[in-house]
Amino acid sequence: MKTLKNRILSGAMAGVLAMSLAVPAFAAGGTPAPAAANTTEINGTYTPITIDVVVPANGAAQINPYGLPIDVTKSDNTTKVSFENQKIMTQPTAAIMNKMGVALTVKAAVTGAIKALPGGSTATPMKFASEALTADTTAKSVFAYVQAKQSATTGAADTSSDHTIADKLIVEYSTWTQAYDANKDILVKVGTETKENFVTLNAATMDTDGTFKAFATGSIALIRVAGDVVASPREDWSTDDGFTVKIAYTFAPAPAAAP
Amino acid sequence: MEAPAENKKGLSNKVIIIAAAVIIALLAAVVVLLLTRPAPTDIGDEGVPKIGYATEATVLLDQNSLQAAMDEAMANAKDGNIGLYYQNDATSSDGTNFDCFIGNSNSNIYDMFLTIYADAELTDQIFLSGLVPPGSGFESITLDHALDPGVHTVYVALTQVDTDEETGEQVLKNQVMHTMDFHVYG
Repeated sequence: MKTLKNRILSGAMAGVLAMSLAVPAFAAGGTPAPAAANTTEINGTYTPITIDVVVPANGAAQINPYGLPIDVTKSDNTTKVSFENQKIMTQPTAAIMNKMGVALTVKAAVTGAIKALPGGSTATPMKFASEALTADTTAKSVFAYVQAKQSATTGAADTSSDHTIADKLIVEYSTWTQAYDANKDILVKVGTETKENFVTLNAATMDTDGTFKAFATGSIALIRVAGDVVASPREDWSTDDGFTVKIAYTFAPAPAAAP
Repeated sequence: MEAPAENKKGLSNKVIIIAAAVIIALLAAVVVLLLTRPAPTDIGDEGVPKIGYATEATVLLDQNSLQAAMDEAMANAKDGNIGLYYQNDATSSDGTNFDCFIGNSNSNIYDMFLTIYADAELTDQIFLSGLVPPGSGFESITLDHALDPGVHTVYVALTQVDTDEETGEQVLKNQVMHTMDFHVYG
């Protein structure tokens, strides 16, 4: 009898325990699925976006340890714009340009390398500095970085016969003063440094048929390699010294602004 | 009684001699082909940086050299922009054959060829195209070797080539690089 009673009690307790566990399970089951009549079917088709941009070709940069002045002549072959104390300078027409009706975010991967000295040279190769140079830096060092800035220049596309946009960019470059900012700029070093959201290119002005019409404010971004150079290192600079900078761009539609 | 064995031996020797002669003839043909094939076309580069697609920065220590270098850079930059026209994503089910849209923008004035690398160091070349005129491009490509299933960021290098219409001489003009994502659904 005692055994039967214990069994009945155990069974009842087990039942209660099972029910107490089942309640959360029922609760987790949630609301029953809505009837088919309350559902809405949406059909969508993914249309890939074709990136349509203009980028500057890789060119040459000048390392100017003494900060000597440089003149750049506009497309009229007469008007000169002066650049002062640019220790590192790339051509002041380098820009990336968005020809699409959507804004683009630009990611850039920058790979630096020190140029090898000629065979048989006993000179010490130059180095990349990882932070701003100080007055007591005596090694042949360069503190170089890649910068981008949205441009106020607008207008129809630059062509091989009309360099109106290029001339405007030269003037913008000459007044571009921007100290190194680790949050925005990409340090040049041996190896690759990548920055997401390096710059945003605003949408261009499109024609009624959806084709490109003109660059709008911010749909062009100036690009440059800038930095500082030790003027009088312990071992003199030579024209054999130099470095290379490789930039690979990634373009993607910019996320829409939150409502 | 010895005759059949001797016949077999003779036949076997004949086969060996014939086989050796065929092999020697094939080898000779290969040697002749290698020695007489036309030399690869040498495309001048007019100072365009070699593979590496990089901007070269050089130390200049006097005013004249500095100014001359900048003047040359500006002259080169006059037709130094490259239009990019492509879709970011390419897809494949086997890792080799990709649906992939890359065009030579019709705003460009030079033919171009593409080199695609699977790595940022540009050591693993997976595709090399022929020359593509402005307004043309690819909707599909076949890689040199398969990519594993997954998403791969690849590095696409465009090199522009200027061909002299009269002499046919080809010169490398401008180079630029961008990335794409190659999706392998394996």
